[in-house]
Amino acid sequence: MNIAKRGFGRLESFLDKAFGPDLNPLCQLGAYGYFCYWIVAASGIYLYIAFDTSITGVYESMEYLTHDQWYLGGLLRSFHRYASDAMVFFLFLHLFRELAYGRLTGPRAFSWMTGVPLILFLYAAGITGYWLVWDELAQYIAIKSAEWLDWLPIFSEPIARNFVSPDRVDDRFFSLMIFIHIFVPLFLLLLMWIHVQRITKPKVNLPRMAAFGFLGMLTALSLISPATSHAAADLSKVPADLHLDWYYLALYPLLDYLPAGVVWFMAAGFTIALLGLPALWTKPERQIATVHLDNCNGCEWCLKDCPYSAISMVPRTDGKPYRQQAAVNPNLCVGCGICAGSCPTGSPYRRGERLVPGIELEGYTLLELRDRLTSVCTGSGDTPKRLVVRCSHASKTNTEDDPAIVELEVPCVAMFSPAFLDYTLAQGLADEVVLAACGDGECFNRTGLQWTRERFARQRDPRLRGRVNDEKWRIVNAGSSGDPGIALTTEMSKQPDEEAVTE
Amino acid sequence: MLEWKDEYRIGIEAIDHEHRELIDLINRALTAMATDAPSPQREEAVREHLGEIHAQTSAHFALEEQEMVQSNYPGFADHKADHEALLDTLLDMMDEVPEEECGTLPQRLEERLALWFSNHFKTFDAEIHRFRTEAN
Amino acid sequence: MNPIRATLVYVVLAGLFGVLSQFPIYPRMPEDQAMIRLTFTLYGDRMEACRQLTQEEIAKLPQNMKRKEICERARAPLYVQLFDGDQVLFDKEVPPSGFRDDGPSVLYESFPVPIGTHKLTVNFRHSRRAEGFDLSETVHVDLTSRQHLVIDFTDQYGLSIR
Repeated sequence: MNIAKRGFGRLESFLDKAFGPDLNPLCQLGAYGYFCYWIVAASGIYLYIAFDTSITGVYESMEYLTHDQWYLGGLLRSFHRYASDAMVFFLFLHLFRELAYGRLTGPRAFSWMTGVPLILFLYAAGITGYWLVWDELAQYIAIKSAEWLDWLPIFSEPIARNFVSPDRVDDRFFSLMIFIHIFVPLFLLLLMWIHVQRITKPKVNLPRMAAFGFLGMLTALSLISPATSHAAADLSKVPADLHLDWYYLALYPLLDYLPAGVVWFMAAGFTIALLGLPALWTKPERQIATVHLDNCNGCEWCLKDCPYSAISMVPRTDGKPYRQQAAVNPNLCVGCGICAGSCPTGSPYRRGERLVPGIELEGYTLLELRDRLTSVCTGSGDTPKRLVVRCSHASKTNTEDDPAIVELEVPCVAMFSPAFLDYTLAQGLADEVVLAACGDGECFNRTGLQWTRERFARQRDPRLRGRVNDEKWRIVNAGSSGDPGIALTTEMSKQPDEEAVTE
Repeated sequence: MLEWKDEYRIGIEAIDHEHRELIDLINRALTAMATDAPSPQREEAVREHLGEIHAQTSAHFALEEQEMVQSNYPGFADHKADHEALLDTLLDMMDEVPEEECGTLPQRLEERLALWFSNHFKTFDAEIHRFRTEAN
Repeated sequence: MNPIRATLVYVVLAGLFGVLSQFPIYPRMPEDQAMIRLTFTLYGDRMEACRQLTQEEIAKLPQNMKRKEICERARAPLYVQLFDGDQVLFDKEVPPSGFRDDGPSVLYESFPVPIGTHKLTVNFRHSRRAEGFDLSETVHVDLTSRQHLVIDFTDQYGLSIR
């Protein structure tokens, strides 16, 4: 998995340079999937209007659209095909990326498992689409699908017999196909909606520039290589060489060489394996956030910062005159610690054991954070030149190389509040502080990097105090898309752009 | 010493409660500083109290600012700026503690902290109160 | 944002979608072959002849179930042979479907054969007889490239080879 993660990181940093972090396709694969869906749906509506559902009319109406009306019908047909292919591409890229980053356990299991039926329904939609054209490819798919389905003991006679001769296929078959080809995608949309329900502010819409760019690409592709049909279906002949759409139809050649039952087992096995993966995956240790009512006045800073909507405000239970208090939903909390970094009472200046914020992680309290900070910085004797605060998803710093550099690990950089930075510098615990975070778009906890940036830029509460010297701290990309040694090599005096770009 | 005055009341129970608590805390800090305890212990006591003041003040400002935003208070920006200024001052004071002359610290604290708060109550917070009564 | 790199990425993507949606070509069947399909859905004869009911038995039956004869459900298996010249393509019994052996016998088999002339012989048994065949037919066909020849047996038309 580490190799996969690094691979994605490399790809992400390459795409960052090509598109910039906002438009980086790798950071919004789901949104690309959604966008492809809208293109397919819109073009599909036009195609449906133009489609003739009689057995002879089917092929002819498609030919008319593709050739005679190439500038509209043909173009939309190509959009329809290529955007569908793209949707499969983005689906699997998205699946592998989430797998590489291990984002399928705990509260994320819901997203993962609801994604599996999406695969099945997308394939059903795409395959029935190819049936509708009733060319040689459709004939091949129809017969093969029927033979495959016949393995299930649900039909009284093989449905493949419906295709043994031309007189057996009639108009009503196409009405049925169209019905399926419309309702499966509608259900697919419902599944897409369910799939994002447990995500706070899911990215389902592409930025405008990305959408235009993608549409432009589709248009160019559609004009250069329009989607066409094979020769018309002829049940008295076996289809000739087929231009298979390998995105949707890769299983069909398997059916030619393997028994139907084997292919059923493969498909069922694949589905069950995917569904069972969250249970088998090594789960990262998950801490849950707890609220300390004595220190909570219901200011809502933690609620605003939680990327998982795990925090809500509830009416007061301790009798204090405050309106509300924070409450954590343990089913949604992944233990990132961003809330602990947002709480105003988490001031490290509170002496001794008084350091108890309104909300913090049970297994990694702020008291412990301060203790570790102190021991790491004073352990080596002299004041370390540099403290690296590293998020546990970023690359480790090899501190053996330089004794003046020490490292402190946190579940997310956003757990290290600006107050802690102020404390570190003001108390002389270190001369400079480097926050080694994940890269843009790959922050494991979705918004930790962004909040950290905004807090330290004095734009988001809790904000860094004005008195802190900005030349003494730096936030760097130590994620899979960044330079692993950057925490050691980055120079405070140089601006990030001036630094030599190392990959 | 700071005293709670009725004119500090702005009508929001939580905020008035926190104001009273903060006044208590500051007074306790000032009392602790005025003791005859030996220097390192007094220093520790000062640090402890200042730390608590920092934490509670930060939380109080957060709550007050939330109230202001929710009621679309027009003077929010200026008010928040005053809050930020105090937090800066507080942290600066904490840095100065070891170097402080024990004798003058309580006095300076009283001046800066206590005075700041009573000023703030009389001006900025009173504005909120006026805004709320006019809105009703 | 680097427009050249971005365009390059788009070109690669377009290439991926354009190419993989059509290539590589999948060779379904060579030019010099054709396909013979042997398929039918047919009830074998009943294992036992139907029996006439006596008057007393009819009287005993409830009003809505009165009938003149009772038939046993079990059906005989079909026995089919298909020869291509001397080569045996198919030589098996096709049992009836259903838990009680009362459903039709179903067959769906495909045989790729070279094109050209073939002497096809079909032997068919659907009755209860132990030996011999009820139907036997030999045809000479000239199969063209990729032709799909279907050997079917229906109640209505009997054996059909098209």
